[in-house]
Amino acid sequence: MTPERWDRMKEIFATVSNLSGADRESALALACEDDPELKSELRQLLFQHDAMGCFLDGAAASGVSGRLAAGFILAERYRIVRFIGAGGMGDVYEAEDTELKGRIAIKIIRAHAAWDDRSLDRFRREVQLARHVTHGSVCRVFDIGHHQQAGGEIIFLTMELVPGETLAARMERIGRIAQQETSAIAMELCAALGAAHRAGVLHRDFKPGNVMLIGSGEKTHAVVMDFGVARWLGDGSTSASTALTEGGIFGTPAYMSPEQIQGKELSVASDVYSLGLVLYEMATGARPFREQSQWGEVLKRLTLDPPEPRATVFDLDPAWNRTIMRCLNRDPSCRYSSTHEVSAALQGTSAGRGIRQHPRIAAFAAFVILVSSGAVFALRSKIFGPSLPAEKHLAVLPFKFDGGDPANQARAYGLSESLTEDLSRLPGLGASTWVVPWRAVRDRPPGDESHAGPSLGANLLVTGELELRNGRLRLATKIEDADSLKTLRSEVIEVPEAGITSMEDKLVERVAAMLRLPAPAASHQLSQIHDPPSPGAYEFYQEGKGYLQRRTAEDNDQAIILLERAVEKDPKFALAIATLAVAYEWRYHNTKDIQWLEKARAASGQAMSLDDKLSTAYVAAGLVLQDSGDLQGAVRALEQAGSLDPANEEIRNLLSVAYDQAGKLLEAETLLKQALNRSPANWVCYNDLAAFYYRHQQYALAEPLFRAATELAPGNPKAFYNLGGVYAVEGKNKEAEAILLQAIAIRPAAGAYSNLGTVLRSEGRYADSAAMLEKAVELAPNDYRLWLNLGNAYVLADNREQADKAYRRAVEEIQRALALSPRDNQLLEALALNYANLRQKNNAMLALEKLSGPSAQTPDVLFNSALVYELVGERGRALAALQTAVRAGLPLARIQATSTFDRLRADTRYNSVVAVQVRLSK
Amino acid sequence: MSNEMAKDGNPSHAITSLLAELRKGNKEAEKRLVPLIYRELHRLARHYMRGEREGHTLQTSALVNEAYMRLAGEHAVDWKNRAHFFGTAAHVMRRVLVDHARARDAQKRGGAAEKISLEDAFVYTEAQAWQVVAVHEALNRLEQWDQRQCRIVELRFFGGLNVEETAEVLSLSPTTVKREFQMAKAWLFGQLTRNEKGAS
Repeated sequence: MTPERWDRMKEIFATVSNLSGADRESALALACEDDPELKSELRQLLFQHDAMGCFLDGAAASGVSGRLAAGFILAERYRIVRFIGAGGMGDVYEAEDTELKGRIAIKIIRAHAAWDDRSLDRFRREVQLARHVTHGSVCRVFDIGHHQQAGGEIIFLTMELVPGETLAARMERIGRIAQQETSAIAMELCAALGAAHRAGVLHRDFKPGNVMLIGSGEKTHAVVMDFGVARWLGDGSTSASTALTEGGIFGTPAYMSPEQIQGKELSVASDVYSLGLVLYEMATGARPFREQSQWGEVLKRLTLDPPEPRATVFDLDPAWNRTIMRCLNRDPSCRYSSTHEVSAALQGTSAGRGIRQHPRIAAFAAFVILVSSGAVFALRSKIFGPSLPAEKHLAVLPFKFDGGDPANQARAYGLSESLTEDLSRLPGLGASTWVVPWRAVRDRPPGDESHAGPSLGANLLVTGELELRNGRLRLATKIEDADSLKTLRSEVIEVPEAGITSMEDKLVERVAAMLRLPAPAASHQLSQIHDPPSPGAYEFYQEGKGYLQRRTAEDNDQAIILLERAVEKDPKFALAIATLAVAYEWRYHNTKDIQWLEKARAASGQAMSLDDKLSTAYVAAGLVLQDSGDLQGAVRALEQAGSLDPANEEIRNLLSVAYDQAGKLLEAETLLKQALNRSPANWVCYNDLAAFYYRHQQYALAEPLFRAATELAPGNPKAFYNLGGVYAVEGKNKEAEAILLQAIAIRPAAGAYSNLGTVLRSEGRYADSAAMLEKAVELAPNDYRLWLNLGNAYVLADNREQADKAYRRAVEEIQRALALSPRDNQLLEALALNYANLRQKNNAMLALEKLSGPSAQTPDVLFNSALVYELVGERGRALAALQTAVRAGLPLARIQATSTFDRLRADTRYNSVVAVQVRLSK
Repeated sequence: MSNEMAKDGNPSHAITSLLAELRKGNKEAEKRLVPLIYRELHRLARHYMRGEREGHTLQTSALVNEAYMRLAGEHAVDWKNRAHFFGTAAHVMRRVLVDHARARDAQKRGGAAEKISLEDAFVYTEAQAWQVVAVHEALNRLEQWDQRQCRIVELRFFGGLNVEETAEVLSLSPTTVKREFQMAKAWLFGQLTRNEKGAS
């Protein structure tokens, strides 16, 4: 070959290789008219071109199966730690997320030419859906990642790292799984699939290889992986087009439902079938029709009913036998319509055998099946009126009092709060039936039902109207459909005015009966009172508690007056004294006047000495300790409160905050996750956990949870502006703007305007940003942060005069707050920032010097310190603070989005000192 | 003081100026870069040998990337520098991989094993080891009439560079790189399949 001849071939090759068939042949003939030898050489080369596939497309030493080496960095972010496993699902690795720290799992989806935009879009949508599924038994999906390299793009999924052994591996190791372990696993599998189904996600490839087991025996914890995305993770050997065809066959047929094998539409019942096969295999040690060829087995399942599992395992629980057979019905409509029904059927009648169940829960579970099965349903609706949904997501709205009397208004309010608490203590509550916590409801004006459903994520509302007529209290209470506001049930409870004590008991009993929930033991309030209080004391207590629940400063003052009177009437009324301690504590919180803290301390101690089993007394003590700076003591007191009253949502919430403040992050996270697992459709739980992650800069974890909250409570602006806030710190401006506008459309709130202002600012729209912040300060004029942001916006919009005005107002607000808590780092830092903005360097540096304690080293505080240093011209100190902040986890995007740092970023030292931290920290 | 962090004698400083020279077309710079890269690759490979190598293999680009990150330090941000570094490393990698594959082959036949520095860091299937040698030998032939195409294959296959990076290193347009690589692959495919038939 000569270079000249090669060049000639190159020229022709370039034009003809893209043609095909006759076109190519005629072009080739034309080009090589004079040289038949050239033509045949080119023809050979073209033949090789067509035949070579992806020959040489991978790098030379990409390993045995293109496996990634430890230390390999994917998408400049994830450092491969070790290879976990391979198989039909693509390779799985343990990796370190260098951005957010912590270990995650990475699943590689093999690069294929067939990844066109459309299929990538569909994949994206499925991942989006899948990551809304948050449940303790579901492996969380985080994100899709892209890595560019020779030989094409690597697309991968990041997900929660679940250590353990797959169910497939365990069955291979030990064969049939012991009954107790099987039960424990089965319940978790049902719950996991149920949570996904509620989020609108089908698994589509449920099999033992997708179930991870942690621990063994009765306490086995099972985690289901690859929800909805399994079919995208097909291995390199299957052709991409087969793997991606909608409804087409992918993966292993061994656990597929008949409809899936036939390529028909899939439904929840398809997952139920696969679940049935897994249960069958766990209980008997083998799948039905297990034979040499997988397809032989599958074909038999298509045409024959499987032999009963009892035929192999004679002593199998009859309920299990029945349930499994119904899961495996070839007709999808004859199977259970939810996995919740499967778990109820499995445990409903097996209570006496091995698995110990509270009889009430068993009865409750059986009841759920009754309502949702067709024929019985029609009959019931005739007898009992319109049907209630099987899943009950309840919100008790603040009751209203007909008439202007504020004391009775407080009483009505207090009743609805007690009812919420009592309902949330009913046995048998769980994933399908739960109560929206009071703190999500308390700010609603009494009697306002508008948007209650969408803003609370509830499907049933409990409303009430209290009246006083001829010396009798009359409460008309209703169960309403949250969407249509139609009344589904109603009842009137009447008691003599003096007998309000009994109202509470009757109320929870009647409401539970209307909802067909198991009867309550007794009102929790009353169960906390051992000796009947002196006459009149309980009434004052009840009314005072009603005021206390409303949380405004004036209501708090009123609550203290009433509770003090209750204690006056009965000095040994421990519950009233403990509640009073909480009210004092609140007064301290609002005023920061130390005398209230001492009063709260004394009262909580007194309540404890009267009754050392009173959870409210420990709550008060915990809050007092927290505000006195004894964070560990606060944790201990609240743990004590929690163990005395484990069902109390409010206590759990306080405890999670206490854990967080005391640096016990794992405990806080666990507590919040437990709450979420108990009520996987309750937006408040998502919001709480997300807020926790947000506080600790785990934005990638916070984002999907906040998003889930907006979906569960589409009418609640808080969920929306929280999500907007996360988008903003992540630098996703477009998403942030859209979601914040949605939040404002739901209800204007200072938080939403402020977040929107921040986003607009980072887009350079300074005047718009200032306008948004003007709206924010209008709605919350005492919030110094908003004034500070407003000042910044004006500076950028070149309005120095307005800016200084805003900064001065911010200084005023901060100093007012500092008078009460002089060692608050956040306040000190804000003060420094304001002084810096007002060009008062000495004051600014003085304020920074006062920062103290461990919170002075958090990324947020360091970031703000850097801002101050930069503003007063201390570039070196600014860079040093940023370097530490980035090391502590501050995202670079935050620095990049801050215009104050524009010049600092242009400083040559920035790249070498700050930006490189991100790489070096790997 | 832009360089207060990079003290004199810091390898990152040396690498950066060598890469700058290389970008200007100074061939001398490449000669000085090669031993630096070789040493670093060698060091890394030994590191992996001691550490978690069970069931793992090293990926060319991962290894080179890490070598680069370590050598270039805080100057690693410029992707063009990175491309040129990879361009030089590709040649080193080719040598290392081929030596390694041949040594394995020698060992298998019971011959005296030549000590190859990166040896244990790579685990090939037989097919891959064969392919590395076959591609290398075919490239030696191709080089006789088209050096540019040969270099493209070296960068893409041995260096793990993508199209854009290859284009940067060779000052070509990405389209040209793609077109040339297509043809070179087609030709190599013929060479390798013919060899295979011949061998069996």
